[in-house]
Amino acid sequence: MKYEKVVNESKKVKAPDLGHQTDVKNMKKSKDNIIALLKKTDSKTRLGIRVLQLIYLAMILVSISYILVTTDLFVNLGIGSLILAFVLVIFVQQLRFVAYSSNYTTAPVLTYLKEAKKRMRVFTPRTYYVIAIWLFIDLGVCLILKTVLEGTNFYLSAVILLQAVLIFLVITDFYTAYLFWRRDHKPVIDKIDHMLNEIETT
Amino acid sequence: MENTDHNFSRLLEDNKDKIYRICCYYLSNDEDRKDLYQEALLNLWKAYKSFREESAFSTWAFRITVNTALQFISKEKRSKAGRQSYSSEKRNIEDGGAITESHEMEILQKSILKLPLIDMIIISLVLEEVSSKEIAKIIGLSDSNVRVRIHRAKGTLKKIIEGGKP
Repeated sequence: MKYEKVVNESKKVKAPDLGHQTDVKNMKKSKDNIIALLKKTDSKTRLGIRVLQLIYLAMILVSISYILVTTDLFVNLGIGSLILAFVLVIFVQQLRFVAYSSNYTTAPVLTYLKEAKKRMRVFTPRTYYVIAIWLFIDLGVCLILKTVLEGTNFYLSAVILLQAVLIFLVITDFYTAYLFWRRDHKPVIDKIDHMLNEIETT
Repeated sequence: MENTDHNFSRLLEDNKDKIYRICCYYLSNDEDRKDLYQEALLNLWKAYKSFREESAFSTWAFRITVNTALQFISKEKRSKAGRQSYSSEKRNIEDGGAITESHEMEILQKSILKLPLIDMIIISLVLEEVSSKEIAKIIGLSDSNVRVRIHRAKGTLKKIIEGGKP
C-alpha cells in the first residue's frame, strides 16, 4: 500500500464525541458537553478530598469542645495529641489535593519522563506523615488511659499492648506502601527507564 | 469563568481531531484510544489555567497529549491481550457523526508501533503537520537532532508500510 494514501486516508479519522457520553442536562452543543464532562470528572476527586478534610475538621471541633468541658489535664493532653493527628490527616489530604491539581504533563517529554520516575519513589512524604499520625494517636490514647485506667491492673498491659499495635501499624504502613509500589509503580518505572533508554540511545 | 470555558472549547474544537489521531498512533484498541483521549483532554483542562500563550495552543496541547500517551502506555497492563486483538477488516464506525476508526489508520498505527519510541513520538507529531522546531520544543531535543530523526523515521515508516523491511 502507498505511504501517501495511508497517511492521507488516516487524516479522515475524527475525534469521538465525548459529550454524547454525559448525562449533563441543558447542554445542547457537544463541545459544551465535553467541558461539562471534564469539569465533572475533575471535581469528583477534588470533592472527595475536601469531604474527607471536612470530616476531620468536624472531629477537631468536637475534640476542642470536649477539652473545654473536661478539667483533667491528662485527658486534655491526650485529646490535644489526637487533635494534632487529625490536623496531620488534613495536611496529608491537602498534599494529595495539591498533587492532584499540579499538572506535570506540560513539561517537555524528556523532562516529564525523568520527573515521573522521581514522583514514583517507593516511600513518599505521605508514608512518613502517616507514621506521625499513628504516633500522635498512640500518645493521645495513652494519656487518656492514664486517667481512665490508672490504678487498675489493666493500665500497664493496655499501654504495652498499644505500643505493640503501634509497631505493628508502622510496619504494616511501610510494608503496604512497598507492596503497592511494587505492584503499581515498579513496572511503570521499569517501562519509563526503558523509554528513556530508547530515546537517549537511538 | 465563562470566558475561560469558551476559549478552551474553541481551541479544543480546532485541535480535537489532531489530538485524537495522536492518541490513535499509540494504541490499537478503540476503547483504550477513547480512554487516552479523555485523559488527555482532562489534563489539558486541568493545565489550561497555567497556559501562558508562550507557544501556540496546539504545541502545548500536543505536548500534553504525548506525555499523557506515554503515561498511559507505561501503565498499560500487558494482560489485556484479549482487548488488543483487532479485526483487520475495514471499519468506519460512526460515533456521534465522527469517524473514529479507519483501515488506513490501523495500518499506519501498526507500522508506527514497529518504530523505536523516539521515532514513534516524532512521527505522531509529523503526521499532524507539527514543525520540527515545535517537535523539538515538545520533546526537549535540539531542532537539528529532530530534523535528522524526522528524515530517518519517515523513511523507515515508508518502508514498513510499503512492504519493505525497515
